[in-house]
Amino acid sequence: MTVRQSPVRIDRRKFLIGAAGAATAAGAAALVGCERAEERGVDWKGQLTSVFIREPVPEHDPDSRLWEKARPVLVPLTPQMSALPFRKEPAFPSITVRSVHDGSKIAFLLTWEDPDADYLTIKTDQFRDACGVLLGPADAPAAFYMMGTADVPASIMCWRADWQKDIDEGYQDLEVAFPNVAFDYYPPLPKAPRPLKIDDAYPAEGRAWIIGWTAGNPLSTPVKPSPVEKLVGHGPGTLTHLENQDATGKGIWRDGRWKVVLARPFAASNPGETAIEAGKEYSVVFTVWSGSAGDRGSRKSPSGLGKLIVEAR
Amino acid sequence: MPNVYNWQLGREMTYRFEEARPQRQAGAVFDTNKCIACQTCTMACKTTWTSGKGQEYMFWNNVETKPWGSYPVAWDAQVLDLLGPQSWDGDVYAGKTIFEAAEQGEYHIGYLPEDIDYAGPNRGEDEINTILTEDKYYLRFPHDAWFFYLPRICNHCTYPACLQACPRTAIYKRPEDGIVLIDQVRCRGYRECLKACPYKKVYYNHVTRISEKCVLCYPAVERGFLTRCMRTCIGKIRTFGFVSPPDKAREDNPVDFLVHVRKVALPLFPQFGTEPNIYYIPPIHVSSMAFLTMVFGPGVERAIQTYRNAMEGNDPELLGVLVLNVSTDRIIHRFRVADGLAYGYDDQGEELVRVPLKEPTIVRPAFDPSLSVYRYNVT
Ligand code: SF4
Ligand code: SF4
Repeated sequence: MTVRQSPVRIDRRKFLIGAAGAATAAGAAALVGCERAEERGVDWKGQLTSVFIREPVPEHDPDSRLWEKARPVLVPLTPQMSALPFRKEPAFPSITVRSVHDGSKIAFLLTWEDPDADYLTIKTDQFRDACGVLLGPADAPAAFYMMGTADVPASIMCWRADWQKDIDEGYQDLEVAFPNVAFDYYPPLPKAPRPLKIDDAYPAEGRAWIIGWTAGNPLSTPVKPSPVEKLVGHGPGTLTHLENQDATGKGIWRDGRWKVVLARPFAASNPGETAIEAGKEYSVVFTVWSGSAGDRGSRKSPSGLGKLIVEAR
Repeated sequence: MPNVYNWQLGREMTYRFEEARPQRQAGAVFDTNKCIACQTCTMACKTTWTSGKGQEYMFWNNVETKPWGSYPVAWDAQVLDLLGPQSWDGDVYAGKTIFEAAEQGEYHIGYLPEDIDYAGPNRGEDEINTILTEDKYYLRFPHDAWFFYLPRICNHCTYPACLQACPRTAIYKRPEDGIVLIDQVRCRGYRECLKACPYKKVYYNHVTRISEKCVLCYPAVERGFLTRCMRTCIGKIRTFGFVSPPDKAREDNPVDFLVHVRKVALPLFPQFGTEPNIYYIPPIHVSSMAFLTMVFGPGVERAIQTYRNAMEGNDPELLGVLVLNVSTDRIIHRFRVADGLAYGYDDQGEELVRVPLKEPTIVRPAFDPSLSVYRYNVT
C-alpha cells in the first residue's frame, strides 16, 4: 500500500497509528478505509482554490503525485430541475475535485465513485459517462450556473468516456457493439477490408455515407485529438463546439471509481471565452453524467454555482 | 406552454412552441387497400439514404403487417399503453395527447427502444388477427380473419414530438414545405427525439453517434419530384403532394381532396397529438371497427363507405385522384376529371399526365399469323 504525502493524510495516518499503537493488519485495513474517506475531501463551502505548482500541470495523468499538492474538496451534486427534461435526483451524491495551475495552464481532477464504467454509446439505448467544468467571470449572475446566459457566456470543458476509449483503443465502431455483425459490402466500398473500421484511413469515397462525419460533427469524427472538448454556452440548449480546441485531459476508471483530468491554457483561444489569470476569482460549476442511468444533455447532476480562486504565483 | 390548434383532434392542445404552420406542408395519402407489401418503397429508401455503416437497422420507410407487425417491436402498443385510455367525443378527442400526458420535468411521454427491439424488421408478416378454426372463416366481407399492410415513413408532423423534445433545437421544420430535419452538426446524440417520437421514426446511427431520420427526399421535392418511396411504389398506393389545414383546403388538390373534401384518408394514431401529415385510406375488409378506430380515429366508418362507393363506380372524382397515383414522377398540384379521364397538373398549371378511369380492354385473337404462334395471353 502506498501512503500518499498529502498533509491532511499524514495527520490522519499519525492519528491512526497513535490510536492503534501499531500498524496491524486491522490497522492497515482501517487506514485504507480512512484514505477512501479522505479522498472524498473536505466540504467545499462553495469555493475551490486552484493551487499554484512549479511543475507543468499533470494534464494527462490522474495518478500524478502533483495532485497531492491540492486540497481535495467534496462537491455535493444536485438535481437538474431548471431546464427540461429534468433529472430529479443526482446520479451521485458528490464528487471530489482538486485543481492546480502552473501559471499558464489550469487543470482539474474530478473523482467520483461509479460502480459501472460506461465507455460506449454505440447502441440505441447506451449512454456514456462524462463530466464537465464550466467557467465564467466571478460576478456572473445566478442563472449563469445553467450553461451561462445570453450576456455572460460559459466556457465549458467536457470529458467523455467514449472519446477517451476512442483515443486509447481506436474508434469504437459497429463491431464493438455487435461482434457478430455480418455485411456484404457498403456502397461504394465493395472491396473494403474486413473488419471495416471507421478511422482516418477509411476510404474517402465512402465517407459521404457517414453523414455526421461528413457534416463535421465533432461527435462523429473518428480521430479525436483530445478526450476533452471545449464548448461555449449561452444558456440551456445553446451548447456549441468551439473552433479552437486546446483542452486536454485523461480519464481512468479503476476499482469502481472515475478519476478524470480536464485542463486548458489560461489564455482564451476563442472569442468570448473566459481567460484565466493567477490571483483572480471565477465562477465554476462541475457536472457529472452517469451513462448507465441514461444521463445525457440536461439529464445530468451539476454542482451549485461556486467560486474558483486561482492562487497567485 | 402555449395552446395550439390540432384540427385532427378537433380541439386545442398544449405544445412547447407556438402554432407556426409552414407556407405549405408536404404530405401524402397511402391507400392501405392496394399495398401488396412488396417492400419496394423500403428498398428504394434504403439504397438511397441508409446504406452506410451504422445505418444497417434503419428503415426510414418500412411496411408492417397489422395487427401484429411493428418495427421496432410493439412501438404502437407501447405508446398506447403509456398514454392510458383514449376516447373520442364525436370528432373531438377526449383523452390526453403524448404532450398532455407528460410527467413533471418531461416534455412528453415516450420510451427509448432497445437494440433488440429492432431485431425483426418484418415481424408478424402476413399474420392474421386471430386463430383460424374449421367452421367459421368462409370468404365474407369484411373478414373475421384479416390483416392489412401499413407502410410507414416519418409523418413530418405539424407538431413534431421529436422537434419539441430536442433540448438543443437541433431539429427543425422547414417553413417552405414543412419537412422535419435533424441538423447533423448540432445533434449531440441525446436521443430525446427517439424517445419522444411516438411513431419511432428517428434512428440512432451506431457509427456517427448522432440521430438520423427520413428527409422526405427534400432534394427531389424541391425540384417538384416525388420522393423515392412514392415514385417506386409498385401498388401505386401513394398520393404525394401538399396538404392544407381544413380551412384552406383546395378541392382540386389531390391530397386535400382525399383528406378534407371526401374525408376518405385519415391520420395514423391522431390521438398522439402530433398532427401527422401522412394519411391513410383505411382497409375496407377489416371487421374490427374498434381496431381501425384506435389506429385511424373516429372517421373510419365514413371513410370506408366513401371508398366503397367510389369503387362501385359512383364517385369518378375520387376514382380519378386514385388512378393518378404514381402515374408520373412529378408532384401533381391540381387534378381534374372529365370524360372518363383524370388529368394531373404541376404548380404552373402544365399538364403532367392523363390517365383513363378505366383501362381499355383489348382482346387479341389467339393465333398470331405474322409470327405463326398461338398467344398465351389474349387480353
Ligand atoms: S413522425 Fe416522429 S420523427 Fe417524424 S416528425 Fe413526427 S415526431 Fe418527428
Ligand atoms: S412499394 Fe407500395 S405497394 Fe410496395 S410495399 Fe411499398 S407502399 Fe406497399
